Amino acid sequence: MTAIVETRALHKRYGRRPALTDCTLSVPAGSVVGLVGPNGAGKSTLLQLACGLLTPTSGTVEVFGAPPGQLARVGFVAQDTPLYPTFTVSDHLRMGARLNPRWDAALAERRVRQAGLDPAQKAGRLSGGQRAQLALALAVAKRPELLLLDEPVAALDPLARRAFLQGLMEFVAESEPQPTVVLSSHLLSDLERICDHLVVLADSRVRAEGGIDDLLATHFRLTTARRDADTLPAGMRVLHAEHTGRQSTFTVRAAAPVDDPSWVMEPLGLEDLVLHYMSDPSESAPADPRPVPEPQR
Amino acid sequence: MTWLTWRQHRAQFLTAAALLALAAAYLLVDGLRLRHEIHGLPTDCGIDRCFDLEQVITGRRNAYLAAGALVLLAPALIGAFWGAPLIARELETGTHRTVWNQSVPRGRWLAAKLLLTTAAAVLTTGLLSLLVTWYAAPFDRFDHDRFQPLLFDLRGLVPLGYAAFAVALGACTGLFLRRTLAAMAVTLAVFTAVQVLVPLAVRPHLQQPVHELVALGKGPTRHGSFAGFDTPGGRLGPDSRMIAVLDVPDGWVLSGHTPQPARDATGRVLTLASLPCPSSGPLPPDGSCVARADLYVAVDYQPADRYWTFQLAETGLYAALAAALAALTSWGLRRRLG
Repeated sequence: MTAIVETRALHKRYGRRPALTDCTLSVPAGSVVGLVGPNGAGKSTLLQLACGLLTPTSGTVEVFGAPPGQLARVGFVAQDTPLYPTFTVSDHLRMGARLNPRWDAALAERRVRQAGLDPAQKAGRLSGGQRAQLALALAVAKRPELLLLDEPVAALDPLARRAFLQGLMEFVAESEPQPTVVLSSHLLSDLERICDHLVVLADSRVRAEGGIDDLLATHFRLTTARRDADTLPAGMRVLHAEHTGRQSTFTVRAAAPVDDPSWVMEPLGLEDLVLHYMSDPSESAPADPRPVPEPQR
Repeated sequence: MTWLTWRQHRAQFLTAAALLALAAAYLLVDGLRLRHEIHGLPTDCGIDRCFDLEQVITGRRNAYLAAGALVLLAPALIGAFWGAPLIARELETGTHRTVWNQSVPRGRWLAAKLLLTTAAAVLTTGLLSLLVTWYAAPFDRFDHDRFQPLLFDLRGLVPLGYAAFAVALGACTGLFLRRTLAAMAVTLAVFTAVQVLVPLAVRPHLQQPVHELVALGKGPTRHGSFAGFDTPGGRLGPDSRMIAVLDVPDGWVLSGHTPQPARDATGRVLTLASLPCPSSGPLPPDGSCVARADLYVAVDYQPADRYWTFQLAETGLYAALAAALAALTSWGLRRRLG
């Protein structure tokens, strides 16, 4: 398995403010990675470092095993989907055709038609959802091997959101070989249906990363009669503890569930898992020593 | 990239083309009519003997000034309206994140946009300058002043250099300020400052000026004439220096616009007391006596035959400035990613 994006000890500061701190992660080929975290967590910074719009303060970022800059192989949908307001929809496609050697005009036109866009319409008069669809068409018709999307649905209403993500998944499903996709959102619900990998960012740091199935299989909620965290078995890493008068609830990370009549151990839902890592910045998950499994599809 | 640049800026380009066409139509028709009217009139003459010609010229003075203003304003406006938004508007609206992620590297994107816009600017200004140079030719033959600081800027080659410089200046300012409006204002201010500074501080030294003692009231090409006496204390006295003004037709007198002291053949400054043509009372000295008296005035000037050398040199200077700014922009564009 090859890593399409690989960062090592990546730091980015804007003046004194850290935007990304000590970020080490790898995006496996063919995966759909969700980048989730609150606003200002460093999601945009990470994506812009990966597409070469920003350069690191320190550390390295490699895309296809080289510094970013292989423009033809990477598609990028920037935050707020910036387009030229005076250009029509078909002007944008024409721009794409002129500036990209691997341009797939048929795909671009199909995507625009499916999204119900009028080719003669000026981009400045499109709705947010239509703009996002046009930006997506522009990015995918490059036939990129890596597609980066920065909060593509943040400003969209639920219907437009669904239509956009559907369009994205169609592109992923019909492309051969399957492209690698990284998209960010501050809402897990945007990501969980389409991603097989998750990176949780908070406060400029990576809090957790891994395959979603893998994350789900290793995080549990453990409810017992009141007891101290250090009396739990050694294989469990306590991420969070909560005590009432008679009962203790632990959020733990463990390789597998442990059956014990004295407690109830149930899988932690993805939402709780992500919320935990997002809201508890003091506890950062250690890098998972096990290899990330091949994405299942 | 050519198509993209055209598509992005076609409104500006078409506006400029329309204005240029209007100006061209007017200047061509009026210029032909002017030539028809002065056809056959004596042209090589002093002011006194060319009354008919002067009348025609004076009647066209406003059109001539307006044409000059066009050439004066064109590069500044091009810098502000074409150059400044070139990068600033992309940064302001965020579209740079879209266009820089197409398969064209950023350096090539900049090179294409800058070169095409500069070419359009040079072409527009060049055509305008050609038209105005042609239109103003009868005026220049009559006035003999095309080497003078402001008029020099409005003829021949130099407007092309100004236009290239203005575009590069606007692009560079836009990159570093990231705001279109601010970039436009700063471009206009800096461009104006450079346009004022160059004729004052740089142009006179493009070539070593000629220093010469010029005989007053003699010679066909230089007009020197006795101007009077300076009165330092507010009163005319025996120590008042005799002063004269000198005009080098089609050339550029550098030694100030103030009259210069008149000297005799040995270089001695003459005063009222040492005047060779003494007059009784407050009357000025007899003109014919002064003409015979072998008087001189010292002058630094750029002779008329250096006009095209200066045009070339200054165009080159501005082209070099434009190239330097383009290099700075390209460097800043790479560094901006930090």
